[in-house]
Amino acid sequence: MHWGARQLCVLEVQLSLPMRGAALAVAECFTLAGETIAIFGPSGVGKTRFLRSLAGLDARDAGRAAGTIRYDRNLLLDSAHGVYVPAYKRAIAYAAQRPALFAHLSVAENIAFAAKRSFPGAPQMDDVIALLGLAPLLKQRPDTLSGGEQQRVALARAAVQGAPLLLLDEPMAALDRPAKLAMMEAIETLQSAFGISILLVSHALEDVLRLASHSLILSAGGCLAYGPTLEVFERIDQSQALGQFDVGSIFAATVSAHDTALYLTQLEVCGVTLSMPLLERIALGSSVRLRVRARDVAIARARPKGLSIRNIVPATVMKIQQSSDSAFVDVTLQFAGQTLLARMTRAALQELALSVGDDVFALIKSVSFDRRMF
Amino acid sequence: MLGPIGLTALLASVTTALLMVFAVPFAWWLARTHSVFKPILEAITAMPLVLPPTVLGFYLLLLFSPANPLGSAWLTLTGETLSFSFTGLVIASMLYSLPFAVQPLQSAFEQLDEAALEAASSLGAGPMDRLFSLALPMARRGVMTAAILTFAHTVGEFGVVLMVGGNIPGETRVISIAIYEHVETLRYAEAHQLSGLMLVFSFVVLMSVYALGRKAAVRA
Repeated sequence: MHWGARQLCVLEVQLSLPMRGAALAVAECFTLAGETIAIFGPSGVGKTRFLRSLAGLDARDAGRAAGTIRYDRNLLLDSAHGVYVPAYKRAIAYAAQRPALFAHLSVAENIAFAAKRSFPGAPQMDDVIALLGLAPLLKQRPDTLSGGEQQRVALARAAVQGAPLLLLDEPMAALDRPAKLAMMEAIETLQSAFGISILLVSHALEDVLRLASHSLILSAGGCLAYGPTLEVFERIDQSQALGQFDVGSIFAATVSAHDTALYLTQLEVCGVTLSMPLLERIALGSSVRLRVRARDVAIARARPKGLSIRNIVPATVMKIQQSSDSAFVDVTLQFAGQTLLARMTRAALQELALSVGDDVFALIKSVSFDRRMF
Repeated sequence: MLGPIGLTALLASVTTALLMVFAVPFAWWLARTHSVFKPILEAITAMPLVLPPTVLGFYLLLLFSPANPLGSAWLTLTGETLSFSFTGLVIASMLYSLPFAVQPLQSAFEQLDEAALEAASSLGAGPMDRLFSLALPMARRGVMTAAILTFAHTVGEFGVVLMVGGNIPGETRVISIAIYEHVETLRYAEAHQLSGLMLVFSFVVLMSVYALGRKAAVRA
């Protein structure tokens, strides 16, 4: 039994956050159903500011948020009418980017601090400690822990409080790869055990695709999009949110075979087979998200022979996008109902003489799949 | 009847205890407020550092006098005057030692990890809860420094006591007054004993303050 288990709860925000450039305006209604919602966008856009205003920690900040926050039918902020519920009265847990553990207390005492002030029916401290594998660390002081361990203790402490909504600010940003994977697993474990809804601030697409069912994309000034993660990343003009370098396509695939001799995994995307380096840990039949960056897709008029690239897919040209001041052209392709972006130079476009409706072959470098996104 | 040493110890203990009760929340507020009154209150708190003790003693003597509302109210309530009494000395000492209690506490509170306090806040700890469960334990060096300095400074006061308390054995005759009297009456042996004691005491106190790490020193 746990607090608000899988209970629907609504978070409605109408905020204007003063930033150095234009104010960030966020007007959105989030349905919290025990899933992770990513707050995604480039640095400096106001993601942390947004999270702090939800947590109620911006009262002393120079530019505090104006507008309204309604959470589970409680009014937390109504700046026009002087309503401001302070952080300690909000049923919202918050873990900052830097894990702010209490330096004078042991790991166990840090977690107990939250347990003493927890909501009725909050997760048991011992359960959380066991789930996150923190038992060996309990007697240690925070300054003896690694960065990843500190993050997991901070996560445990926030979870033990039992608030149905947990705000996580870039929990993986400062971690190396193994620690990052451990942290993502910890988040998933907690979520499936206790049905906590999470708002996760991140600027790493990989984290968002793995953890978040829904995503809110912020860009300078406001929201670009909000919705199911896959849909949102297909819909938006990604160059605005991701920067030119990372523009690409995302689609769902099913794992159909593992070839342990060649170390390849076969993936089905609507009847088309793609292969990528072996993903042994992923069970056959499970769904994964694939991401292909536009710069990793080449186009050929005829099916090429004698080429090292393994993934060659027949596709149709849907759109050709040139911006006036760039050497590059983005070509939108379609195969089996999926959209695939390809980037080439203007010169290449002229030589191929591509036009909308042409049938071509898309060449996808095997290595261009992002690993373990599901 | 208490001798000068016992009386001094009692005065310093009572003053330190009462002053800490007041100084902790006051310093906590000073450390966290953006109020326009903050510099005014900080200046008032620091005034005993620069005022001659006789000035403070003079105004307190006037305030304690039965001709004034406070003095007369106290006389009606207790049947005693505040001036030339132990209670009057405690009040005077609290004012005189105020900066020695407030300043180390304030600077210790200002150096606290803001992120940890915010974490406590989002974990459901209100302002008073944060003060007692986090700020005081985290600022324990500052608390120790404040208590030790307040105690020592009260032991060492002379001018204010002379003005407000006079020299009544068992009531207001503290060590510094006793030394003064011994010297006046040319009893140097007794003066030596008490003065030597004060020397050793001051050294031990200051050494323990520095050993605490100079984390929260008094700012003049």
